[in-house]
Amino acid sequence: MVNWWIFSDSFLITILAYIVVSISLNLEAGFTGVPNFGKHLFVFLGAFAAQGIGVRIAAWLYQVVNPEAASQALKEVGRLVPGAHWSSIVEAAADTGANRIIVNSYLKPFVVENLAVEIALLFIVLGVTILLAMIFGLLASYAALRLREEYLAILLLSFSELMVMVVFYQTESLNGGNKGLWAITFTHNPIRFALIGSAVLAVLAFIYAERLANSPMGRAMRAVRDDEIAASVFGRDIASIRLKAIIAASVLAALAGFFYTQNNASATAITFNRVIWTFLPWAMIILGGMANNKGAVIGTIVFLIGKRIFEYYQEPIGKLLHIQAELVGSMLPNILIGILILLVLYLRPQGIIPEHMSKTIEFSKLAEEVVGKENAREGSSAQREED
Amino acid sequence: MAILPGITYTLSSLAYAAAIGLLSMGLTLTYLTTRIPNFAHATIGMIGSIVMLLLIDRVFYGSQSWLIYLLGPLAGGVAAAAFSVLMYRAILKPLADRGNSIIGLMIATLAVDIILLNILTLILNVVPGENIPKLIGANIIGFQPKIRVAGVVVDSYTIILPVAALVLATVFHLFLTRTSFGVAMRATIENPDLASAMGVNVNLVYMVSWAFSGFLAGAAGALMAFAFKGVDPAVSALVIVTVFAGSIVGGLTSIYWGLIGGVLVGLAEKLGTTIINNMYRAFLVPSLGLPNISLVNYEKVMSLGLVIIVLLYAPQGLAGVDWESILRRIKRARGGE
Repeated sequence: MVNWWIFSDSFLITILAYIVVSISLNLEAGFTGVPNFGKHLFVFLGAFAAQGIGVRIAAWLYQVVNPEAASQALKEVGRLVPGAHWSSIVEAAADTGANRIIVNSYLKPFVVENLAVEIALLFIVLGVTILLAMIFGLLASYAALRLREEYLAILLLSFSELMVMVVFYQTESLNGGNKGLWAITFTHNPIRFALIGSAVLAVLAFIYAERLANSPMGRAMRAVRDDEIAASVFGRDIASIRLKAIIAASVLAALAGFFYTQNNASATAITFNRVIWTFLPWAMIILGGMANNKGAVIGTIVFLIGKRIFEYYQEPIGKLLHIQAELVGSMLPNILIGILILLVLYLRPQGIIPEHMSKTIEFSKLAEEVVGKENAREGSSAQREED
Repeated sequence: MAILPGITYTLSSLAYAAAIGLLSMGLTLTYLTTRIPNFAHATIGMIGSIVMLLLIDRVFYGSQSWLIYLLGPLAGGVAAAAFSVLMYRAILKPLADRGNSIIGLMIATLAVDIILLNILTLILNVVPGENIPKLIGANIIGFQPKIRVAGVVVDSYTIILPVAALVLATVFHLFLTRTSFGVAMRATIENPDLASAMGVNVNLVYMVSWAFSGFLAGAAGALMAFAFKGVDPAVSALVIVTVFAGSIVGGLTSIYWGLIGGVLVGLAEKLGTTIINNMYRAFLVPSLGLPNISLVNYEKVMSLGLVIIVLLYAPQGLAGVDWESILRRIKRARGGE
């Protein structure tokens, strides 16, 4: 749909997905002070819901709605054995050998042709995404409530690295392991679906984060970040504030991962590594400004366009520097990103847009409200005295 | 099926554990002095591996000389120490002086990690050398001298690494206890303000601690170059997880416990996983009908499991456990019988 200069559909979807992840990371790290160095796991959960779990659910629905076609599909991949029951198509759909044929030739047409099935499946998969994100968010918050900043960062990084690089990457029966799986996609034009879905998600996430940041909850989050003891002295429940922030952020990140996977139509755990989905979002929010949603969005856009220009002109740059073009595309941007982050940290630690005070009611209005309440109270007490 | 692994595997596990121990020790040292968790530590160790690779390529190609075990770790350690000091002096200290929070410093070490990782990969791809292309992706284990232990030919690096770890730890211990600079260093760890009031050059102490940390990492990386199938800098992404696990198990408060924690985690990952895997396949698979899969790939689960157990039951790590009272209780229980 979009094809102009560096801009293409997949680049726009990438920008939108990163905007959501940056906003969610900003919610945790910028506002609440939870240094989530394991963001890539939460983004991968959305991909896993579409790929490892979505494919299985779609296969089960296929078997329920259309058992004959399901056995036809099993015959094509050579899995129709006597006595095979419904679980065999579910197994085959998530098996690296049969996954491609079953998903692309049978499940996708089946999903696209039945509107009821499509809507039901979409809601189920989105529900699974949110549920997975909440479960892992709860696990992360279990640690976040008990550990100091640096221990928490180390633990979250190790935990996510373990889940993504070891559990998801090595277990073929779970999600295709190192071969990856084709994911279930929606509508006849999944790329348009991904574009619209991630755009809607990005707008909603931004509105949500802005409203949250300017609400009493947002001020409480900043108080927890700045001084836990002071916040708890003023009666704030630190545990519940952290828990809510982590779970909201996890759900947002997983949904971003889900729409991102719709564009690629397949996912492998290793593409969701800590450089791409943890370090880059951190770089973006540091560039744009921590604890500032507009900063997170602007930082993400500036950052990704800069990176993309580099990849786009990798051949002339490679010729100029006498290195292979692939190395320019893959290595040099990473080096420059690292240098950029160090420079931002040194020269402008507050980022492009610094954190500003949260919006509150104007003082005169507040005074009016308070005076009004006082008057009302005095009036009622005077009345009571009269009685 | 035998439950216990063979001698070659046991020795290579010990070597891996010793390398992780050295890395955890260095990580704990810089955390103790400057309070910065260094996410680039494993990649700094990778500098040692690359130096070893270049040494083999340029000097030791084809000759299986024992001299490589002296020159390799020394050159790799010095190179890594130089980078480590540079990283602290040119990047981390200015950032800390400008009032960056600990999170900002952690991000900075991650940034250095990514820069260094990509530069090392570029070096491996760009540096012209006759044998380098042959060495990348190949197994450089053939370039080390071999020795026999109990009639079995074993890789000599697996013997050298634990010995080197012990020697380095002893030297460092002597440095800390027998020299005045070592005493100044311990004083700085205890109380930087007081030490500086007593005339200790705290900044010099910090730089020396980064140099030591880098040297330990580089020496370990140089010897571990034999263990990797070809040197791929991306290995450090997973190694750093184990190194942090070792440091947390040790407690991040004592370098000796850092070494012990690293060794424990390394052993649990290699030997522990293999023994559990052999037991699983020998007993649980036939009797309970569990899927016959290999558990060896899940070795990182062991290190994180250890971290979680330690954080739950001894939040200060092994260094924070009151070993004397435990020993006394054991003695009393024995005496009571």
